[in-house]
Amino acid sequence: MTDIDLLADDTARVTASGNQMWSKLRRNPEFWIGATLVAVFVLITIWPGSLAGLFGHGDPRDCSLTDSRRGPDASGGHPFGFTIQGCDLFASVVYGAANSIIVGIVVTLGTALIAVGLGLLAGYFGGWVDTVLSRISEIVVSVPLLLGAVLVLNSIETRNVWFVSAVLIAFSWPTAMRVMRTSTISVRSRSFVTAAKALGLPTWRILLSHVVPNTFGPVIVLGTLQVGAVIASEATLTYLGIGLQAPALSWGLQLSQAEPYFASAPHLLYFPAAALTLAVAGFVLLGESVRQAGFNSLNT
Amino acid sequence: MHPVISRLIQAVVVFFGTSLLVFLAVFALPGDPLGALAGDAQLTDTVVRNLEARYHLDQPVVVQYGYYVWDLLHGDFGTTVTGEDVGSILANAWPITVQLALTAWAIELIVGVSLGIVATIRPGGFVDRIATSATILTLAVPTFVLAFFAQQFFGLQLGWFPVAGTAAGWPIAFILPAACVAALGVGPIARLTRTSILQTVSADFVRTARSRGYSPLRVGTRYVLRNALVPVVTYLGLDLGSLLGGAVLVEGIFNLPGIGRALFTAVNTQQGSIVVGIVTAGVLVVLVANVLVDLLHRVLDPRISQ
Amino acid sequence: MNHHSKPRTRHAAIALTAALAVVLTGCSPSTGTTEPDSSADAILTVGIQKPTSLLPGNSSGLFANTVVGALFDGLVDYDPETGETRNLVAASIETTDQKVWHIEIEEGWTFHNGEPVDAESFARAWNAAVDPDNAWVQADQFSNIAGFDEVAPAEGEPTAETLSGVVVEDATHLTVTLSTPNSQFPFLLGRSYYSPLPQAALDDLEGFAAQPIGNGPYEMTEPWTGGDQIVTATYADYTGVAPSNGGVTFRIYTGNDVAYTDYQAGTVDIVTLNPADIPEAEASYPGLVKRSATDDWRNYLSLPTYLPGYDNPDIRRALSMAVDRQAIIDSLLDGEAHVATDYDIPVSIGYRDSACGDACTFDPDAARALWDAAGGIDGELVITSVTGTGREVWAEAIANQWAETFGVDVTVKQVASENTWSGILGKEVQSPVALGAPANYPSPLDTLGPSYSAAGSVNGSFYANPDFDALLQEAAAAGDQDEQLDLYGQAKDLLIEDTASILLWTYASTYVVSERASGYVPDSFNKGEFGSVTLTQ
Repeated sequence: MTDIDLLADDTARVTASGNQMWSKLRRNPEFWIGATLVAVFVLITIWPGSLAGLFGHGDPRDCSLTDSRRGPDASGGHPFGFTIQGCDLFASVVYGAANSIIVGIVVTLGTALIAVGLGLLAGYFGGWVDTVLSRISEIVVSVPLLLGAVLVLNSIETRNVWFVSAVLIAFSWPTAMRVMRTSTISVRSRSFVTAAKALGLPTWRILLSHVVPNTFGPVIVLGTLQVGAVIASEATLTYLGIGLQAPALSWGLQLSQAEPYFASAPHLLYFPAAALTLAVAGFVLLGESVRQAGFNSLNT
Repeated sequence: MHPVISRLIQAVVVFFGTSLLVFLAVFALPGDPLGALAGDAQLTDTVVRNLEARYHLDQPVVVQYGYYVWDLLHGDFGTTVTGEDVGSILANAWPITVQLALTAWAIELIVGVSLGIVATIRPGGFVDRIATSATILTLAVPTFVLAFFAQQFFGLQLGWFPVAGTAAGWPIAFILPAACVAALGVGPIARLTRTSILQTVSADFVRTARSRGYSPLRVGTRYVLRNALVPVVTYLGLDLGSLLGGAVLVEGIFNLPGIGRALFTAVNTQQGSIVVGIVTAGVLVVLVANVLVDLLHRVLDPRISQ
Repeated sequence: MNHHSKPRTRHAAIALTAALAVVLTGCSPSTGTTEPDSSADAILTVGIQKPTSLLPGNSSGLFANTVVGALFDGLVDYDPETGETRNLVAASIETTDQKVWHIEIEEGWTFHNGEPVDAESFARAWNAAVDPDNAWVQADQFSNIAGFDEVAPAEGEPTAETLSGVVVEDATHLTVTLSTPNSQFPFLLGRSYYSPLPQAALDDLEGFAAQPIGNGPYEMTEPWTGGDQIVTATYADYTGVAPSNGGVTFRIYTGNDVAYTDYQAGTVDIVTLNPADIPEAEASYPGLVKRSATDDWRNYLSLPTYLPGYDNPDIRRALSMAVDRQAIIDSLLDGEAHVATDYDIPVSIGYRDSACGDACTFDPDAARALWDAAGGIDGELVITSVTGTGREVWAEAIANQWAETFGVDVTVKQVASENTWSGILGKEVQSPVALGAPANYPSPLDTLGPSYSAAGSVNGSFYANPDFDALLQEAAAAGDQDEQLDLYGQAKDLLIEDTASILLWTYASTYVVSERASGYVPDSFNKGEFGSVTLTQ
């Protein structure tokens, strides 16, 4: 993905406190732009109707073939124009956000869960557990995401949001796991952990109460950045025909269907592309600003 | 054991592990490998039986994998069910993708690092803000959208670059596609370079060098850049995986006959052996690149230890 | 500073740079066309997608047919206007009972390597095609020749090595005996898999597969090993009408859309157009868009007649009447198609202009009435489309039309193209399927046999009507073409009455041609016909 892997080392060194981070974030315009975009997109994911009906034609399934591919008609309440089937494009784009963003969030959460779990185990216990898990993660990370996803998704007949998410999680967990592992390793030798061990606390207790709270910060930072990347990946896979399938409403689908008509109906491509770009940009801006705020350094 | 050797052994182990995974993914999942063969006609049972026997499709998957590895060790990547030699398909497609990925790598490096350096001239200044913010955009626009528009505007309308195909040779035919692939990585590299330079500049050994009166140019290149680029190089090595993915995407749009295109044709016609061969080769590339990155590390900073 | 590092780092750096340099400059991709000195030697570039194989007996699909058609000539070809067979390599084809066929081969035809084309060439090719050891995909096309079951039995071991029904009488006479009469047999002889093979094919099959040696107007000048071009040049000693150009280079693309983009850049002469690109091509390149004279593709929906609801002809008819074909043609297909009116394809001899009647006419009220009277179908309806074909766009439109007419939920699902027929025939796909089929040869049997006879290989609707099969058999035994067409017409009427599948529309293969290429006439059946194209410089 992005510079996620490098964050493996960087974010493990997140040292700023909550207050320090907030004061930095407050002053960063990137944060505000990102946060607003994310808020809007999350809103329309949970409640598409809120935005879709803004221009009076909020039902993306209310279609009429005679309107096929007509251009934007703001006065008539169709600011984005019509889709190939003659549905309102604005409503379709709004509803299309849901699938993409759900995949983004599900994958990020799933990856985080697995990564936290495995990274903890690998970092805390070390030894052969670490070796085995690290080798497995190396194997998975060696397969380029696109190739691996093509491979697996192509064999699945019905691809819904959950299958696609599962495949993306399967190929994304190694990097996050490494982050978690690095930060666990650095924490396990800290004094409060040694003290807890000396006190005879059970391992699971040590892990949950002492190690986890101090280590998963970087994973969170990683997460916000990853959502943007996952959204872009889902769109790419769907565009290639191995992600979500018609008649699901997804930006990737809208983009792949729009391409042949680009010369005669460019609006079919421009609007979903803009929406996709804004969504990814929003999450990336948010993630970047949070990450930078975590540093005690001179560049913000 | 020499670290490079141990890295190589590690790479070999990972390679076989991955190829097994890939093989299982292709041949153990549901789907009919012979299904695409006859198009709208049907294969006679005899033909089906013979094809199955010839390609060991009637054996358990592990046995099939065994055959595959045995052939692989003899340099034989296998034959597709239509009788094509996978090895020669790979040999034809491979150089194109390599050229594309390396060109993209170079563009990422040159443009990204330059942007990063420029941004550090006045940290927090106007150019800095523009450079770092603009890179968000190249990151956020999905590669396939970028490629499509690039093809339409720079290729078709402006005519600066060929629209598709490799007829114009390297580098002309590759610049546009490579730029699209590189776009994703330019931003992070620029930001990384910037951060890294700013951190290095305040390090002790740099101050020592400056206090010794070395020229700014010498300090800049020999001390600052050389050390600052270490994380950038690491990133480039790790990025190769996504570069390959991007290449796969872009090859279809620009009709470059590389591995990406071969992959999609193979996936659509369910020629599993090509798919396995391609993904395995992709893994190989990533592994080799990581070894090379290690080498580069030693070039840049001999003090580096794992 | 660490002095030990210097030589090592320098070596490593040099090695890396060298490696990069070698890779970047050493690999130069193949260049495109060469510059000819006169227009008669000019090379035509044609865009295709990757052929499955260049061996006639092992090739399938449109693009393999195109290339094989350029390299090989069969016993007959088809008249582009009437569809009737014309003797090509054959001097005459005679029969008295539609079962035993006496073929006389014209003398003087040679393969690209000088071998003569004789009766043995055909026997050799057809026996190779059915040989189970070769496992060629078109073996099934020879299943009606006597002796097929001994050479390639469905179960058990073969008991013969060659087809007993193919007898080489002498160098120019071949006798073919079929298991059951088939009056349409001459049409099959024009198909690419019936092409002859030289002895060189059997001597080195692997080499031959990469560089076939045919007897057609074009010969391959270099082997094709999966790269992005297949290069051919005009065969100097060609016995037929000499081509007006110097050769054809087939450029391989991942899809027609990519080919079209390259066409726009001026690097390829002829490409097949996807329906979505046709309006833009018409606007940008007026006069350069060429269509087949008659529609040669049909789109239809197969129906799972084994499922409750779909087994009722009234329901099937209702579903058919609920489709507004013209609206879809106008808005989604840019007017490039025509409502289907018969069960085969307009290029088939005997296609009727208004046979389908009410069943193919949009009448939502009557459809609703029929549906209600028959009890409808419970639950959600599904239309399955095949990935990568672009059909899901109109499948969705039909789904919407059904939803509106019958008030039920209808969704569109996808099936991967390689699993389409195994899924349909294996009853894993249990819904109407959006299908498309090109015309292979101009006889009604081309569609009726495989798609609607009980033993048909692509009978997606599982249609099994003994009366229908009997009519087909009668037509196969009939000696007079009018009689055959009359019988086929009766058979088609049965299909119409039963709504065996939902007919949609037919359309023509469409191409766009570069300015310098003139004389290209799309030929629905003789796919590799590029000899008439002249290139102006």
